[in-house]
This record gives sequence, structure tokens and C-alpha cells, in this order.
Amino acid sequence: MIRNIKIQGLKCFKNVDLELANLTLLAGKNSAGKSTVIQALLAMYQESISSLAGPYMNIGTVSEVKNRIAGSKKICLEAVYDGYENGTCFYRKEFLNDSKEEKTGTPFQKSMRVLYLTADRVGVKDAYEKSVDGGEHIGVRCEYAFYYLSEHEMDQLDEPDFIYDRTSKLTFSGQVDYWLQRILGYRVRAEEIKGTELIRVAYGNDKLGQDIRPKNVGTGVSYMAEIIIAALSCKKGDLLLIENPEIHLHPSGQAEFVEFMTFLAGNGLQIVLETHSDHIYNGVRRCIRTDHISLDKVKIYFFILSENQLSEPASVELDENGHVKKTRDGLFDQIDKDLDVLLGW
Amino acid sequence: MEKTIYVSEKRISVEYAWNMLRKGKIIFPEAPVLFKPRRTQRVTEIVELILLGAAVPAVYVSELQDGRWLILESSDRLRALFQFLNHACTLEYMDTFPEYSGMSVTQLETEVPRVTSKIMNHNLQFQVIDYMTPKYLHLQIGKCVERWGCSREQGIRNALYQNYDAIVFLKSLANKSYGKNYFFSSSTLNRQYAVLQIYMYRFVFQKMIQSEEKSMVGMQFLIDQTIEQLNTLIEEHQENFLVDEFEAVTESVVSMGMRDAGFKYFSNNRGKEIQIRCLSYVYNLYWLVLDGCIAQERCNEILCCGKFWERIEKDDVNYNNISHHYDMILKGKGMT
Repeated sequence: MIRNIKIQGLKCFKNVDLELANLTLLAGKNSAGKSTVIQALLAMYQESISSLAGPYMNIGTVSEVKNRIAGSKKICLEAVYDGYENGTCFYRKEFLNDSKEEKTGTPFQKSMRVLYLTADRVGVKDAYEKSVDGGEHIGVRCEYAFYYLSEHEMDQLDEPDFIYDRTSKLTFSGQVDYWLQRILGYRVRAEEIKGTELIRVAYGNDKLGQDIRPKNVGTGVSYMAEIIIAALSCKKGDLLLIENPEIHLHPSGQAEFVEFMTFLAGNGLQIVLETHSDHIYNGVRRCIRTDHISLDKVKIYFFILSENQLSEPASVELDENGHVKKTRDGLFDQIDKDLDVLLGW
Repeated sequence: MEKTIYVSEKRISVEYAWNMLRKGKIIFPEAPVLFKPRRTQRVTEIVELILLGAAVPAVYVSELQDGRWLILESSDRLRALFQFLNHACTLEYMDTFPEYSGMSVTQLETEVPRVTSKIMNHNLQFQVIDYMTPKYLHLQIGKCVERWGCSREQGIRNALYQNYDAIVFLKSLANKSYGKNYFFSSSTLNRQYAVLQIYMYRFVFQKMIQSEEKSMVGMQFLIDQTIEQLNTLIEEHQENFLVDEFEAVTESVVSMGMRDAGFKYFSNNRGKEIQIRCLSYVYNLYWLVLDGCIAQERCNEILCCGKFWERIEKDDVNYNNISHHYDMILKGKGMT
């Protein structure tokens, strides 16, 4: 698990030090730096000619993304994490210029898999493509999630602790169906279209009792199925980064989704969620209150842009009942502001 | 009463299915041994179909909790095919392909590899009954489609309910019953089936099986509830009591005899299902005597009552009919 990340000179960050937990929520206004934290993690994880441009993300060159407001000469990223065998490990990448990087410590690729799901997920299609690696990767846009499902449907889940209900079907597809049914009331089936590079997907439920093409169920069903497949493909100790999981999801679905996330995070999967949703935020607080996850396994950061356009993440402190110890302007308070107007206050 | 059935169709090649079998992902239930002549006949049938390019009839499977497939097929074609691939038999004479008669899979691979390729690449159609479908519906579908006998049904039931203490209990009780009397079958699975049926009627008579939709409740659901009830009793540490009680009834049945009509209806020419049904009623009649619900004279009267045994044979096995038979026993309703 990554315990701590330091970001210096990247985009809107001058120098920040963030502690990460089993479940870390990144909240704040647009362009306040939430995605930059995720990009920093990915820049440390991906190993290519330039770590800023690789299979997980491409955000340009060092010149483009170093913090000009703060006058940063270089970008420096550091992570402290739990090593595979040897206790606490350290990894540091310094981006000196567009073509020079210096690395110190042990890359955390050796200890964990990082799975990143961008907000720009592939969504609704009747048929999805196969990956060339035989169904081992989900893809940052979840473009291969259903291929992964079709290849692993009968496998036992890699992590027995990720099984919530021991009376449910114990296979990978059984557990995907369990959560999809719980969150949105649907089951999913993915099967190869013989002789093609495509996977056909269909949904079903008890009331309709038949396979329905993705375009004929709610958009959120496809988006949620992709996330569930991705999350259940992980093992303990992996890191799952999700941008805006609330896309196309009704508030009640978001509330159940948080139960899913807190369950996995409580059982060893490290999750970072970037969100704009009150329902995700309140859902996490509710799960703390109802003991679905302990307080020490949760971290929430609220990103604020200062007057000089530097991001200053503030840790949102909660108590055991999920109450916020110190409120802040802009911290999921738009409902209150709107209600004040509506009620004539 | 949960009634939703989830069945999906899967098409996989013989080769893929063979690999699944070798990894333990396809299993067969305990079943009567497939002797060589029948095995050879079965594999020849399926190979001939494949070589002709015809579709092999779909095979129904039950998906277990861990994703394994339990084969429900009663014709044993698939089992025979796998045994053929495992070098356990050869092909019989085929009118359409006499040149392959008597060949083993090794010979085919060596002499006509395109034939083994055709066999291995042939797509088999499986109808997979999803694990989340209630177990009793797996059995109901399977019995309807595959027309099992009692022993095969019990073999499949043992696999579906494998983690249940009740199944272990039934096996133990069936083993104890072997050789003690002439009316329990020499087949282990038939004996287990008989013991389970005896309990099913017992629990209906004692109203230990409740159902809101009584008129709809058929045999498979009743058996399912019987297993659940036995499980509960075993969890309550009543196993020894159950064994003692059963042995006491067995002793009554053995010592008092089957008598007249009961015995007549127990004869072999009526088929195993009817035999076991009659045996279950005989057991329960003596059980009612031991419980003090009816006198021995009443029991004797019913054993000799042809009308009663005709009803047992003709009536469908469901909650309503069994309850009605119980009324006939207790109150004489419908006996004249």
C-alpha cells in the first residue's frame, strides 16, 4: 500500500505531502488538482521513455506541466509504500527536463499492480474489443473489461476475502453479478463472438428474464459493470484509481457503490477515488458511522486553489460517527446553498 | 417459494470441455457404472453424429457454487466420449464410417488425424443451469429433460447438496440399512433415495414442511425442504435420535411384514419409483403406529386396502395429495 506521496513542482502543486489510506477520496472544484494527484501516482508507476507519457496517461512534457507560477525548475515525485517482502520502501522520480529523469529507490511496480480507470470510460456498446494479451488487462478506459470477464468468468476470485456473501456464486462472474445486482439490479454476460475479435455483452434481471443488449438498459449499468469487473480483478495490496465513479449513476446506486468500495478497501485493496459527488462523499461518511470501514482506513482531501493558483489540499477530518470536524466553504455544501435560496433564507 | 430459473447456453469445443474435465471443472455425479458394451455404443453414437456434421443434443449441466459443471445427462454420451478420449474404449461398427470401426483414439490420431481434429473441434452445446437457481429446480429441470431413474437423481442430488450434513446422514443411514431387510435395494444410491423419500412423507405427515403455496408444491421442492429440515435437526444434535427412531421403525416393518396389498404393490414390475413410494408409505404407517397416532389394526387394514394403494400409485406426488393420503390413513376419508 502507498502510505505517502510527495509532489513538488507538478502543475498546480508547489510542494504537497499527502498521506494515503485504504480508501482515499479526492474532492474539490474543477481544476483544483485532484487529477494531478492521480497523474503523479501514474507518473511514478509507468516506466517508459518519459514517465509522463506512457500506457496509462500522456500529459505532455516536463516543460508543459512543471509549475510555472511557483517557478519550479523540476518536478519531484516521491512515494513511501509497503514493499512486497521488505517492509517500508521508498521511490523517487525527479524530472529534470524534458529528456532527463532520475530515479531513486525501488519502483513500486514490483510490489503492486496499479489499475487506473479514467473518467472517459468506454461505456455503452453492444460489442467490445478483445485485447491482444489474452484478456489480462482491463484498459484505462475499461475497453477490455468485458473481454476480461469472458476470459475469467469461471475462475475463482483471486482474493477470497473479496467475497462479501459466502452463499453467493464464488466465481469471478458470480461476484460481478452479485455486486451489479446489488447496486443496479442487473446481471451481465460477456461471450466471445466466434471468428471475430469482439465480445458480445448482454444484461438480464429477474423481472425481464432475458438477455438485453447494453443500449437497451440504462447507461449507468455498463459504466458500473466495468468498474466492478476492474475492482474484482485486483488483489490485496493493489492500487485502484478511479475518476468520477458516479458517472451516470443514480444516487441510490452511488450509495451502494460506496458499500462495495469500502468493503474492498477494508479488505486490503487500496482505492483512490476522485469525485464531485455528494453521494459518494456522504456514503463514505455513512460507512464509517455504520462500521463498514474504520475511520483510520479513510482519508478525504479537499483541494482548494489559492489566490495565486496553487493547489492546497486540506485533509477533511472526520470523527467516528462520520461527522466533519471542520466544515469548509465549497466542501459539498452546494445543496445547503441551494436550499437556502429555495427556502427563502 | 423461489421459482426463478437462470439457464444460459454455452457452446464449447470437445477439446475445451475435455480440458475442463481434466482440470476438475466438469464433474459427473455418482451413477451406475457404465459397462463396456454400453460405453462403446454410446461413444460410437456421438462420434458418428460428429463425423456426419450433425449437432449433438444439448447437455444440461448444473453450475455449482465454485463454478464447476455437474453433468446432468442421463444417456452418458458425454461421459463415454471422455472415456474414449481417455483410451478406455474403442469405436463400434458404424454403417456410415465402417473404416473407423474398432479404432481407439490413439489409432485415429495416428492413422486419420483429421478425424480426431474434427471430433476435438466440434462444438458441444451446454445448457447451464446457474448456481443461483434454487437446487430443487435444477433437479426438476434435469428430471424432466433427462428422464432420470432414482439412482441417477440421487447421485445428482448428492453432488448438489454436497456440503449438507443431511446428505452425510442419509448415506450413513442407507449403509446401515443394507442387508438388514429384503426391501432396501442393493444399490447405494437407490437406498439413499428411499430413505430420503421415507423422511419426506414423514415430515409432510408431521407438518414439519410448511408451504404457503401448498397446492403448487411438488416432489422436488418437498425433498429439498426435507433435506433442509434434516440439516436443522442434525445441527440441533438430534442425529442419534433420528437413527434410533429409524431403526425402530425398520424393525417393525421387518418383523410385522409387508402384508398383502402393500407387498403386492411393492413388486418389481412396477418400477423403482413406485416401489420406493410404496415402501415410504409402509414405513410411515408403522411410524404412525409407533407414534401412537393409529392402532396396529388400522395399519393392517390399510396395508390390505387396494383402493389406498391404487391412489398411492396414481396420484401425483405433491403436498396436497400426500396430506390427503394422511387424512385417508387417520380418518378413513376416501377409502370407500
